Amino acid sequence: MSRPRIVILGAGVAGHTAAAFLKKWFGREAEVIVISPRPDYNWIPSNIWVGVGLLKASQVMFPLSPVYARKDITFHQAKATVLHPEGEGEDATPFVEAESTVEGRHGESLRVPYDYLINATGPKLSFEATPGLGPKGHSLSVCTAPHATEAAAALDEAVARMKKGNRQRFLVGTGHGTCTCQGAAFEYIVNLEFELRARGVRNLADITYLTNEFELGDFGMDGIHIRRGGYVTPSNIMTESLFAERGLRWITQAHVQGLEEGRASLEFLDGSEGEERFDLAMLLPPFKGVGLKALDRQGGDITDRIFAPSGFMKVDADYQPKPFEAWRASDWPSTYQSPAYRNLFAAGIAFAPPHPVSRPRQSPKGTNITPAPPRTGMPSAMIGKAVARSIYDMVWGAKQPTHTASMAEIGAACVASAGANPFKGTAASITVFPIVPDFERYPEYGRDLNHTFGEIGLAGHWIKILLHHLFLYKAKMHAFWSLIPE
Amino acid sequence: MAPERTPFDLGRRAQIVFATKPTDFTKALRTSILWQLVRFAVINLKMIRVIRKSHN
Repeated sequence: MSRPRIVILGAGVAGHTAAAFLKKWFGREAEVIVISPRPDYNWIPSNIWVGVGLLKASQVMFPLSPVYARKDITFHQAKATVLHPEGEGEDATPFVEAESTVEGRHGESLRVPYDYLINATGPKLSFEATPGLGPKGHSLSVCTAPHATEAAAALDEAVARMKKGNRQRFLVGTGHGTCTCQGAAFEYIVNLEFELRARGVRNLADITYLTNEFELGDFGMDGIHIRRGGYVTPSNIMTESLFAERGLRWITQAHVQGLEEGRASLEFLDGSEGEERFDLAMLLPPFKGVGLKALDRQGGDITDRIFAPSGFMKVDADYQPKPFEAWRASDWPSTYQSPAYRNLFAAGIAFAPPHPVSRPRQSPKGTNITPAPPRTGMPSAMIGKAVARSIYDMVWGAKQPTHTASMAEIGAACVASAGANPFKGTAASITVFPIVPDFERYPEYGRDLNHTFGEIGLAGHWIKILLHHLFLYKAKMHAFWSLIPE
Repeated sequence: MAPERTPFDLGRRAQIVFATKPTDFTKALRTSILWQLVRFAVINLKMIRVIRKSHN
Protein backbone atom coordinates (compact mmCIF):
# COMPACT_ATOMS: atom_id res chain seq x y z
CA MET A 1 0.00 0.00 0.00
CA SER A 2 1.36 3.46 -0.91
CA ARG A 3 1.58 6.04 1.84
CA PRO A 4 -1.94 7.36 2.51
CA ARG A 5 -2.42 11.11 2.14
CA ILE A 6 -4.57 12.77 4.76
CA VAL A 7 -5.46 16.37 4.05
CA ILE A 8 -6.76 18.71 6.74
CA LEU A 9 -8.39 21.99 5.73
CA GLY A 10 -7.84 24.54 8.49
CA ALA A 11 -5.34 24.91 11.32
CA GLY A 12 -7.56 26.06 14.15
CA VAL A 13 -8.22 24.06 17.30
CA ALA A 14 -9.95 21.13 15.52
CA GLY A 15 -7.70 20.96 12.43
CA HIS A 16 -4.44 21.46 14.29
CA THR A 17 -5.38 18.85 16.91
CA ALA A 18 -6.28 16.34 14.19
CA ALA A 19 -3.02 16.99 12.29
CA ALA A 20 -0.90 16.65 15.44
CA PHE A 21 -2.45 13.33 16.49
CA LEU A 22 -2.44 11.88 12.98
CA LYS A 23 1.28 12.55 12.70
CA LYS A 24 1.94 11.18 16.18
CA TRP A 25 0.08 7.92 15.43
CA PHE A 26 1.20 7.41 11.82
CA GLY A 27 4.75 8.67 12.02
CA ARG A 28 6.19 8.26 8.50
CA GLU A 29 3.51 5.79 7.44
CA ALA A 30 1.17 8.52 6.19
CA GLU A 31 1.55 11.96 4.68
CA VAL A 32 -0.30 14.56 6.76
CA ILE A 33 -1.02 17.76 4.84
CA VAL A 34 -2.51 20.93 6.31
CA ILE A 35 -4.01 23.63 4.09
CA SER A 36 -4.79 26.86 5.91
CA PRO A 37 -5.12 30.42 4.59
CA ARG A 38 -3.35 31.98 7.55
CA PRO A 39 0.34 31.44 8.39
CA ASP A 40 -0.21 31.45 12.16
CA TYR A 41 -1.92 29.45 14.86
CA ASN A 42 -4.13 31.63 17.08
CA TRP A 43 -5.14 30.55 20.60
CA ILE A 44 -8.48 32.32 20.25
CA PRO A 45 -9.68 32.15 23.90
CA SER A 46 -6.88 34.57 24.87
CA ASN A 47 -7.88 37.11 22.20
CA ILE A 48 -10.08 38.68 24.90
CA TRP A 49 -6.95 39.86 26.71
CA VAL A 50 -5.52 41.23 23.47
CA GLY A 51 -8.79 43.14 23.02
CA VAL A 52 -8.39 45.00 26.31
CA GLY A 53 -4.68 45.65 25.77
CA LEU A 54 -3.27 43.18 28.30
CA LEU A 55 -1.54 40.92 25.75
CA LYS A 56 -0.03 41.55 22.35
CA ALA A 57 -1.23 39.56 19.32
CA SER A 58 2.18 37.86 19.17
CA GLN A 59 1.50 36.34 22.61
CA VAL A 60 -1.55 34.43 21.38
CA MET A 61 -0.16 33.40 17.98
CA PHE A 62 2.83 31.57 16.55
CA PRO A 63 3.92 30.71 12.99
CA LEU A 64 2.80 27.26 11.85
CA SER A 65 5.51 26.56 9.25
CA PRO A 66 8.42 25.86 11.66
CA VAL A 67 6.25 23.62 13.87
CA TYR A 68 4.96 21.61 10.92
CA ALA A 69 8.45 21.41 9.37
CA ARG A 70 9.83 20.03 12.68
CA LYS A 71 7.05 17.42 12.81
CA ASP A 72 7.20 16.49 9.09
CA ILE A 73 3.69 17.76 8.39
CA THR A 74 3.29 19.33 4.94
CA PHE A 75 1.85 22.83 5.13
CA HIS A 76 0.27 24.82 2.30
CA GLN A 77 -0.66 28.39 3.14
CA ALA A 78 -3.71 28.49 0.91
CA LYS A 79 -7.46 28.81 0.93
CA ALA A 80 -9.36 25.68 -0.11
CA THR A 81 -12.01 26.50 -2.71
CA VAL A 82 -13.36 23.35 -4.39
CA LEU A 83 -13.64 19.71 -3.30
CA HIS A 84 -13.49 16.99 -5.94
CA PRO A 85 -14.45 13.95 -3.84
CA GLU A 86 -14.75 11.70 -6.94
CA GLY A 87 -11.70 13.02 -8.75
CA GLU A 88 -12.02 14.44 -12.23
CA GLY A 89 -12.64 12.84 -15.62
CA GLU A 90 -10.69 9.58 -16.00
CA ASP A 91 -8.78 10.07 -12.76
CA ALA A 92 -10.83 8.91 -9.75
CA THR A 93 -8.36 10.25 -7.18
CA PRO A 94 -10.16 12.73 -4.90
CA PHE A 95 -8.49 16.10 -4.61
CA VAL A 96 -9.03 19.58 -3.29
CA GLU A 97 -8.39 22.82 -5.15
CA ALA A 98 -6.89 25.70 -3.22
CA GLU A 99 -5.58 29.20 -3.88
CA SER A 100 -2.31 30.35 -2.38
CA THR A 101 -2.48 33.17 0.18
CA VAL A 102 1.29 33.57 0.38
CA GLU A 103 2.38 37.15 -0.23
CA GLY A 104 3.48 37.56 -3.82
CA ARG A 105 1.76 34.32 -4.91
CA HIS A 106 -1.83 35.28 -4.17
CA GLY A 107 -4.37 33.29 -6.14
CA GLU A 108 -1.89 30.69 -7.47
CA SER A 109 -3.79 27.45 -7.84
CA LEU A 110 -2.95 24.23 -5.98
CA ARG A 111 -4.36 20.76 -6.55
CA VAL A 112 -3.86 18.46 -3.55
CA PRO A 113 -4.95 14.80 -3.87
CA TYR A 114 -6.13 12.95 -0.78
CA ASP A 115 -7.18 9.56 0.55
CA TYR A 116 -8.96 11.10 3.54
CA LEU A 117 -9.99 14.69 4.06
CA ILE A 118 -10.95 16.55 7.24
CA ASN A 119 -12.81 19.81 6.73
CA ALA A 120 -11.86 21.91 9.77
CA THR A 121 -12.20 25.27 8.08
CA GLY A 122 -13.98 26.91 11.01
CA PRO A 123 -16.42 29.74 10.40
CA LYS A 124 -16.60 32.60 7.98
CA LEU A 125 -17.16 35.70 10.10
CA SER A 126 -20.34 36.91 8.46
CA PHE A 127 -20.16 40.64 9.25
CA GLU A 128 -22.08 41.36 6.05
CA ALA A 129 -25.21 39.80 7.60
CA THR A 130 -25.76 43.09 9.48
CA PRO A 131 -25.24 46.35 7.57
CA GLY A 132 -22.46 48.38 9.20
CA LEU A 133 -21.25 45.54 11.44
CA GLY A 134 -17.54 44.83 11.88
CA PRO A 135 -14.13 46.49 11.75
CA LYS A 136 -14.81 47.70 8.18
CA GLY A 137 -18.07 49.22 9.44
CA HIS A 138 -18.85 50.79 12.79
CA SER A 139 -18.05 48.12 15.37
CA LEU A 140 -15.09 46.13 16.63
CA SER A 141 -14.49 42.41 17.04
CA VAL A 142 -12.19 40.10 19.01
CA CYS A 143 -12.69 37.08 16.73
CA THR A 144 -9.16 37.26 15.35
CA ALA A 145 -5.96 38.56 16.92
CA PRO A 146 -5.69 41.51 14.45
CA HIS A 147 -9.33 42.42 15.21
CA ALA A 148 -8.59 42.26 18.94
CA THR A 149 -5.54 44.52 18.45
CA GLU A 150 -7.80 47.09 16.75
CA ALA A 151 -10.27 46.81 19.64
CA ALA A 152 -7.47 47.48 22.15
CA ALA A 153 -6.39 50.60 20.22
CA ALA A 154 -9.98 51.89 20.14
CA LEU A 155 -10.27 51.24 23.88
CA ASP A 156 -7.09 53.27 24.49
CA GLU A 157 -8.62 56.16 22.55
CA ALA A 158 -11.86 55.92 24.54
CA VAL A 159 -9.90 55.93 27.81
CA ALA A 160 -7.96 59.00 26.64
CA ARG A 161 -11.29 60.77 26.04
CA MET A 162 -12.51 59.72 29.48
CA LYS A 163 -9.36 61.05 31.10
CA LYS A 164 -10.32 64.41 29.64
CA GLY A 165 -13.66 64.11 31.45
CA ASN A 166 -15.83 62.83 28.57
CA ARG A 167 -18.44 60.20 29.40
CA GLN A 168 -18.29 57.15 27.07
CA ARG A 169 -20.90 54.57 26.13
CA PHE A 170 -19.73 51.01 25.50
CA LEU A 171 -21.91 48.46 23.73
CA VAL A 172 -20.73 44.84 23.84
CA GLY A 173 -22.46 41.67 22.67
CA THR A 174 -23.89 40.02 19.58
CA GLY A 175 -24.35 41.80 16.26
CA HIS A 176 -27.11 39.63 14.81
CA GLY A 177 -30.07 37.56 15.97
CA THR A 178 -28.38 34.25 15.11
CA CYS A 179 -24.95 34.79 16.66
CA THR A 180 -23.12 32.21 18.71
CA CYS A 181 -20.06 32.63 21.00
CA GLN A 182 -21.90 34.67 23.65
CA GLY A 183 -19.18 33.47 26.03
CA ALA A 184 -16.63 35.63 24.20
CA ALA A 185 -18.89 38.70 24.45
CA PHE A 186 -19.45 37.94 28.15
CA GLU A 187 -15.70 37.72 28.74
CA TYR A 188 -15.05 40.90 26.83
CA ILE A 189 -17.58 43.03 28.72
CA VAL A 190 -16.45 41.95 32.20
CA ASN A 191 -12.77 42.33 31.24
CA LEU A 192 -13.54 45.75 29.77
CA GLU A 193 -15.25 46.82 33.00
CA PHE A 194 -12.34 45.47 35.07
CA GLU A 195 -9.81 47.28 32.87
CA LEU A 196 -11.69 50.60 33.03
CA ARG A 197 -11.59 50.30 36.82
CA ALA A 198 -7.87 49.53 36.70
CA ARG A 199 -7.30 52.63 34.54
CA GLY A 200 -9.31 54.80 36.96
CA VAL A 201 -12.10 55.84 34.56
CA ARG A 202 -14.93 53.46 35.41
CA ASN A 203 -17.08 56.29 36.79
CA LEU A 204 -17.25 57.80 33.30
CA ALA A 205 -18.38 54.62 31.50
CA ASP A 206 -21.91 53.44 30.69
CA ILE A 207 -21.51 49.80 29.70
CA THR A 208 -24.32 47.82 28.05
CA TYR A 209 -24.49 44.15 27.10
CA LEU A 210 -26.58 43.47 24.00
CA THR A 211 -27.52 39.90 23.26
CA ASN A 212 -29.72 37.66 21.17
CA GLU A 213 -30.14 35.33 24.17
CA PHE A 214 -33.66 35.01 25.61
CA GLU A 215 -32.11 35.27 29.08
CA LEU A 216 -28.60 36.12 30.16
CA GLY A 217 -26.54 32.98 30.68
CA ASP A 218 -28.09 31.07 27.77
CA PHE A 219 -24.70 30.94 25.95
CA GLY A 220 -26.31 29.10 23.02
CA MET A 221 -26.76 26.03 25.25
CA ASP A 222 -30.27 26.88 26.48
CA GLY A 223 -28.58 27.89 29.75
CA ILE A 224 -27.34 25.51 32.40
CA HIS A 225 -28.44 24.62 35.91
CA ILE A 226 -26.05 24.29 38.83
CA ARG A 227 -26.38 23.43 42.50
CA ARG A 228 -25.63 26.52 44.54
CA GLY A 229 -26.53 27.60 48.08
CA GLY A 230 -29.08 24.85 48.57
CA TYR A 231 -30.86 25.50 45.27
CA VAL A 232 -30.65 24.29 41.72
CA THR A 233 -30.04 27.64 40.07
CA PRO A 234 -30.30 28.59 36.38
CA SER A 235 -27.28 30.29 34.80
CA ASN A 236 -29.14 33.56 34.24
CA ILE A 237 -29.06 34.13 38.02
CA MET A 238 -25.27 33.82 38.12
CA THR A 239 -24.77 36.01 35.05
CA GLU A 240 -27.25 38.70 36.14
CA SER A 241 -25.64 38.73 39.55
CA LEU A 242 -22.18 39.39 38.09
CA PHE A 243 -23.51 42.11 35.79
CA ALA A 244 -25.47 43.80 38.61
CA GLU A 245 -22.42 43.68 40.86
CA ARG A 246 -20.32 45.32 38.14
CA GLY A 247 -22.98 47.93 37.29
CA LEU A 248 -23.52 46.63 33.76
CA ARG A 249 -26.84 47.13 32.01
CA TRP A 250 -28.12 44.40 29.74
CA ILE A 251 -30.49 44.14 26.76
CA THR A 252 -31.66 40.64 25.81
CA GLN A 253 -33.77 39.16 22.95
CA ALA A 254 -32.27 41.61 20.46
CA HIS A 255 -31.39 41.42 16.78
CA VAL A 256 -29.22 44.18 15.36
CA GLN A 257 -30.82 45.47 12.16
CA GLY A 258 -27.93 47.74 11.30
CA LEU A 259 -25.18 49.97 12.58
CA GLU A 260 -24.36 53.53 11.74
CA GLU A 261 -21.69 55.73 13.27
CA GLY A 262 -22.40 55.58 17.02
CA ARG A 263 -25.87 54.05 16.64
CA ALA A 264 -27.32 50.54 16.56
CA SER A 265 -30.87 49.87 15.31
CA LEU A 266 -32.49 46.99 17.14
CA GLU A 267 -35.42 44.66 16.67
CA PHE A 268 -36.72 42.73 19.66
CA LEU A 269 -38.40 39.38 20.00
CA ASP A 270 -41.71 41.03 20.94
CA GLY A 271 -41.69 42.94 17.64
CA SER A 272 -40.72 46.31 19.08
CA GLU A 273 -37.80 48.29 17.72
CA GLY A 274 -35.24 50.46 19.43
CA GLU A 275 -31.97 52.24 19.14
CA GLU A 276 -28.82 52.14 21.21
CA ARG A 277 -26.12 54.79 21.01
CA PHE A 278 -22.47 54.06 21.62
CA ASP A 279 -18.97 55.48 21.46
CA LEU A 280 -17.34 52.03 21.23
CA ALA A 281 -19.09 48.85 20.17
CA MET A 282 -17.64 45.32 20.21
CA LEU A 283 -20.26 43.15 18.57
CA LEU A 284 -19.67 39.60 17.39
CA PRO A 285 -20.77 38.53 13.91
CA PRO A 286 -22.84 35.45 13.07
CA PHE A 287 -20.93 32.51 11.63
CA LYS A 288 -21.46 30.63 8.40
CA GLY A 289 -19.47 28.09 6.41
CA VAL A 290 -16.44 29.29 4.45
CA GLY A 291 -18.16 28.71 1.10
CA LEU A 292 -16.42 25.60 -0.20
CA LYS A 293 -17.85 24.22 -3.44
CA ALA A 294 -17.95 20.57 -4.48
CA LEU A 295 -17.92 19.06 -7.96
CA ASP A 296 -18.50 15.49 -9.11
CA ARG A 297 -16.30 13.62 -11.58
CA GLN A 298 -18.03 15.16 -14.58
CA GLY A 299 -17.78 18.67 -13.17
CA GLY A 300 -21.40 18.81 -11.96
CA ASP A 301 -22.09 20.95 -8.89
CA ILE A 302 -22.75 18.73 -5.85
CA THR A 303 -22.24 21.44 -3.23
CA ASP A 304 -25.73 20.99 -1.78
CA ARG A 305 -25.14 17.25 -1.40
CA ILE A 306 -22.17 17.85 0.86
CA PHE A 307 -22.94 21.18 2.49
CA ALA A 308 -25.97 22.63 4.27
CA PRO A 309 -27.36 25.98 3.05
CA SER A 310 -25.40 27.63 5.87
CA GLY A 311 -22.18 26.45 4.20
CA PHE A 312 -21.34 24.06 7.05
CA MET A 313 -20.70 20.43 6.08
CA LYS A 314 -23.39 17.78 6.50
CA VAL A 315 -22.24 14.86 8.61
CA ASP A 316 -23.91 11.93 10.40
CA ALA A 317 -26.59 14.08 12.09
CA ASP A 318 -30.36 13.90 11.75
CA TYR A 319 -31.14 16.97 9.64
CA GLN A 320 -34.87 16.30 9.35
CA PRO A 321 -36.64 19.54 10.35
CA LYS A 322 -38.64 18.96 13.52
CA PRO A 323 -40.21 21.06 16.27
CA PHE A 324 -38.28 21.88 19.45
CA GLU A 325 -40.30 19.34 21.45
CA ALA A 326 -39.14 16.55 19.11
CA TRP A 327 -35.42 17.36 19.32
CA ARG A 328 -33.35 14.47 20.65
CA ALA A 329 -29.75 14.14 21.80
CA SER A 330 -29.40 11.44 19.14
CA ASP A 331 -29.97 14.08 16.42
CA TRP A 332 -26.38 15.21 17.01
CA PRO A 333 -23.55 13.69 14.99
CA SER A 334 -21.05 11.35 16.59
CA THR A 335 -18.51 10.28 13.92
CA TYR A 336 -18.58 13.48 11.79
CA GLN A 337 -18.31 11.40 8.61
CA SER A 338 -20.01 12.74 5.50
CA PRO A 339 -23.00 10.58 4.54
CA ALA A 340 -22.01 11.12 0.89
CA TYR A 341 -18.33 10.07 0.99
CA ARG A 342 -16.78 7.73 3.57
CA ASN A 343 -13.35 9.40 3.35
CA LEU A 344 -14.70 12.88 4.06
CA PHE A 345 -15.11 14.26 7.60
CA ALA A 346 -15.79 17.61 9.26
CA ALA A 347 -14.48 18.72 12.64
CA GLY A 348 -15.04 21.70 14.91
CA ILE A 349 -17.21 24.59 13.77
CA ALA A 350 -17.17 23.31 10.15
CA PHE A 351 -19.83 20.64 10.73
CA ALA A 352 -23.49 21.57 10.29
CA PRO A 353 -25.40 21.23 13.57
CA PRO A 354 -28.80 19.54 13.17
CA HIS A 355 -30.54 22.42 14.94
CA PRO A 356 -29.83 24.97 17.68
CA VAL A 357 -29.56 23.92 21.32
CA SER A 358 -31.48 26.96 22.57
CA ARG A 359 -35.22 27.02 21.95
CA PRO A 360 -35.79 28.72 18.55
CA ARG A 361 -37.70 31.99 18.64
CA GLN A 362 -38.84 34.46 16.00
CA SER A 363 -40.09 38.03 16.20
CA PRO A 364 -43.56 38.77 14.75
CA LYS A 365 -41.75 39.93 11.59
CA GLY A 366 -40.19 36.48 11.27
CA THR A 367 -36.68 37.49 12.33
CA ASN A 368 -34.88 34.55 13.88
CA ILE A 369 -33.55 35.62 17.30
CA THR A 370 -31.96 32.41 18.54
CA PRO A 371 -28.36 31.79 19.57
CA ALA A 372 -26.59 29.26 17.36
CA PRO A 373 -24.96 26.32 19.15
CA PRO A 374 -21.37 26.74 20.34
CA ARG A 375 -18.73 24.30 18.96
CA THR A 376 -15.52 26.01 20.02
CA GLY A 377 -12.66 25.08 22.33
CA MET A 378 -12.76 21.73 24.08
CA PRO A 379 -15.47 20.09 21.91
CA SER A 380 -13.63 21.19 18.74
CA ALA A 381 -10.41 19.58 19.95
CA MET A 382 -12.18 16.40 21.06
CA ILE A 383 -13.97 16.10 17.72
CA GLY A 384 -10.69 16.67 15.87
CA LYS A 385 -8.98 13.91 17.86
CA ALA A 386 -11.90 11.44 17.47
CA VAL A 387 -12.01 12.00 13.70
CA ALA A 388 -8.23 11.57 13.47
CA ARG A 389 -8.40 8.27 15.35
CA SER A 390 -11.22 6.97 13.15
CA ILE A 391 -9.21 7.79 10.03
CA TYR A 392 -6.15 6.08 11.51
CA ASP A 393 -8.19 2.92 12.15
CA MET A 394 -9.86 3.08 8.71
CA VAL A 395 -6.47 3.31 7.02
CA TRP A 396 -5.55 0.06 8.81
CA GLY A 397 -8.71 -1.68 7.71
CA ALA A 398 -11.67 -0.55 9.80
CA LYS A 399 -14.78 -0.36 7.61
CA GLN A 400 -16.43 2.43 9.59
CA PRO A 401 -15.32 5.26 11.90
CA THR A 402 -14.29 3.77 15.23
CA HIS A 403 -14.38 6.82 17.48
CA THR A 404 -17.18 9.18 18.42
CA ALA A 405 -17.46 12.57 20.09
CA SER A 406 -21.13 13.52 20.06
CA MET A 407 -21.73 16.85 21.77
CA ALA A 408 -24.68 15.15 23.45
CA GLU A 409 -22.29 12.63 25.03
CA ILE A 410 -19.25 14.75 25.90
CA GLY A 411 -18.88 17.54 28.41
CA ALA A 412 -16.95 20.76 28.33
CA ALA A 413 -14.86 22.68 30.80
CA CYS A 414 -14.75 26.39 30.18
CA VAL A 415 -13.05 29.24 32.02
CA ALA A 416 -14.44 32.68 31.24
CA SER A 417 -12.18 35.48 32.39
CA ALA A 418 -13.90 38.21 34.41
CA GLY A 419 -10.83 40.36 35.01
CA ALA A 420 -7.11 39.66 34.66
CA ASN A 421 -4.96 40.25 37.72
CA PRO A 422 -2.97 37.63 39.69
CA PHE A 423 -4.42 38.79 43.03
CA LYS A 424 -7.65 40.65 42.27
CA GLY A 425 -8.74 39.02 39.02
CA THR A 426 -11.57 36.51 38.74
CA ALA A 427 -12.98 34.08 36.21
CA ALA A 428 -16.10 31.97 35.94
CA SER A 429 -15.10 28.29 35.91
CA ILE A 430 -17.84 26.23 34.30
CA THR A 431 -18.28 22.58 33.46
CA VAL A 432 -21.26 21.11 31.64
CA PHE A 433 -22.09 17.50 30.96
CA PRO A 434 -23.26 16.88 28.33
CA ILE A 435 -22.91 20.00 26.18
CA VAL A 436 -26.17 19.31 24.34
CA PRO A 437 -28.87 18.51 26.91
CA ASP A 438 -30.16 14.95 26.90
CA PHE A 439 -33.64 14.94 28.44
CA GLU A 440 -33.98 11.18 28.03
CA ARG A 441 -30.99 10.51 30.31
CA TYR A 442 -31.43 13.56 32.57
CA PRO A 443 -35.19 14.30 32.42
CA GLU A 444 -35.39 17.37 34.62
CA TYR A 445 -32.49 19.57 33.50
CA GLY A 446 -31.05 17.68 30.52
CA ARG A 447 -27.64 17.52 32.18
CA ASP A 448 -25.87 15.65 34.95
CA LEU A 449 -25.80 18.07 37.89
CA ASN A 450 -22.93 16.12 39.47
CA HIS A 451 -20.77 17.23 36.55
CA THR A 452 -22.30 20.60 35.76
CA PHE A 453 -21.16 23.46 37.93
CA GLY A 454 -20.10 27.10 37.91
CA GLU A 455 -18.13 29.27 40.26
CA ILE A 456 -16.55 32.72 40.12
CA GLY A 457 -13.24 33.42 41.79
CA LEU A 458 -9.54 34.10 41.59
CA ALA A 459 -8.80 30.38 41.22
CA GLY A 460 -10.56 30.51 37.85
CA HIS A 461 -8.20 33.25 36.71
CA TRP A 462 -5.19 31.17 37.70
CA ILE A 463 -6.64 28.23 35.75
CA LYS A 464 -7.20 30.48 32.72
CA ILE A 465 -3.53 31.56 32.84
CA LEU A 466 -2.45 27.94 33.21
CA LEU A 467 -4.60 26.87 30.25
CA HIS A 468 -3.25 29.71 28.09
CA HIS A 469 0.32 28.47 28.55
CA LEU A 470 -0.50 24.74 28.48
CA PHE A 471 -2.52 24.90 25.26
CA LEU A 472 0.04 27.08 23.46
CA TYR A 473 2.73 24.59 24.57
CA LYS A 474 0.60 21.72 23.31
CA ALA A 475 -0.13 23.44 19.99
CA LYS A 476 3.61 23.97 19.47
CA MET A 477 3.97 20.19 19.91
CA HIS A 478 6.81 20.40 22.40
CA ALA A 479 7.88 17.36 24.44
CA PHE A 480 5.02 15.33 25.97
CA TRP A 481 2.42 17.62 24.32
CA SER A 482 -0.02 14.76 23.89
CA LEU A 483 -0.27 14.24 27.66
CA ILE A 484 -2.15 17.54 27.96
CA PRO A 485 -5.85 16.69 27.61
CA GLU A 486 -8.05 18.41 25.04
CA MET B 1 -30.66 69.81 42.93
CA ALA B 2 -30.53 66.05 42.33
CA PRO B 3 -28.50 65.01 39.28
CA GLU B 4 -30.55 64.26 36.20
CA ARG B 5 -31.31 60.56 35.74
CA THR B 6 -30.47 59.32 32.27
CA PRO B 7 -32.48 56.49 30.66
CA PHE B 8 -29.31 54.40 31.06
CA ASP B 9 -29.35 54.88 34.86
CA LEU B 10 -33.07 54.08 35.10
CA GLY B 11 -32.79 50.91 33.03
CA ARG B 12 -29.77 49.72 34.89
CA ARG B 13 -31.33 50.44 38.29
CA ALA B 14 -34.44 48.40 37.49
CA GLN B 15 -32.31 45.43 36.49
CA ILE B 16 -29.99 45.66 39.47
CA VAL B 17 -32.89 45.80 41.95
CA PHE B 18 -34.15 42.39 40.83
CA ALA B 19 -30.77 40.67 40.45
CA THR B 20 -29.16 38.49 43.09
CA LYS B 21 -26.03 40.22 44.37
CA PRO B 22 -23.13 38.75 46.34
CA THR B 23 -22.54 39.76 49.95
CA ASP B 24 -19.25 41.37 50.98
CA PHE B 25 -18.24 38.04 52.53
CA THR B 26 -18.81 36.18 49.24
CA LYS B 27 -16.85 38.83 47.34
CA ALA B 28 -13.99 38.60 49.85
CA LEU B 29 -13.85 34.82 49.49
CA ARG B 30 -13.57 35.18 45.71
CA THR B 31 -10.17 36.83 46.04
CA SER B 32 -8.98 35.29 49.34
CA ILE B 33 -5.66 33.65 48.44
CA LEU B 34 -5.97 30.79 50.94
CA TRP B 35 -9.58 29.95 50.03
CA GLN B 36 -8.85 30.24 46.33
CA LEU B 37 -5.90 27.84 46.62
CA VAL B 38 -8.40 25.29 47.96
CA ARG B 39 -10.87 26.14 45.17
CA PHE B 40 -8.06 25.87 42.58
CA ALA B 41 -7.57 22.25 43.59
CA VAL B 42 -11.30 21.53 43.77
CA ILE B 43 -12.14 23.11 40.40
CA ASN B 44 -9.25 21.30 38.70
CA LEU B 45 -10.52 18.00 40.08
CA LYS B 46 -14.06 18.75 38.87
CA MET B 47 -12.74 19.61 35.40
CA ILE B 48 -10.60 16.47 35.26
CA ARG B 49 -13.69 14.40 36.15
CA VAL B 50 -15.63 15.94 33.25
CA ILE B 51 -12.69 15.46 30.86
CA ARG B 52 -12.30 11.81 31.91
CA LYS B 53 -16.02 11.18 31.59
CA SER B 54 -16.02 12.78 28.13
CA HIS B 55 -13.12 10.63 26.94
CA ASN B 56 -14.80 7.40 28.06
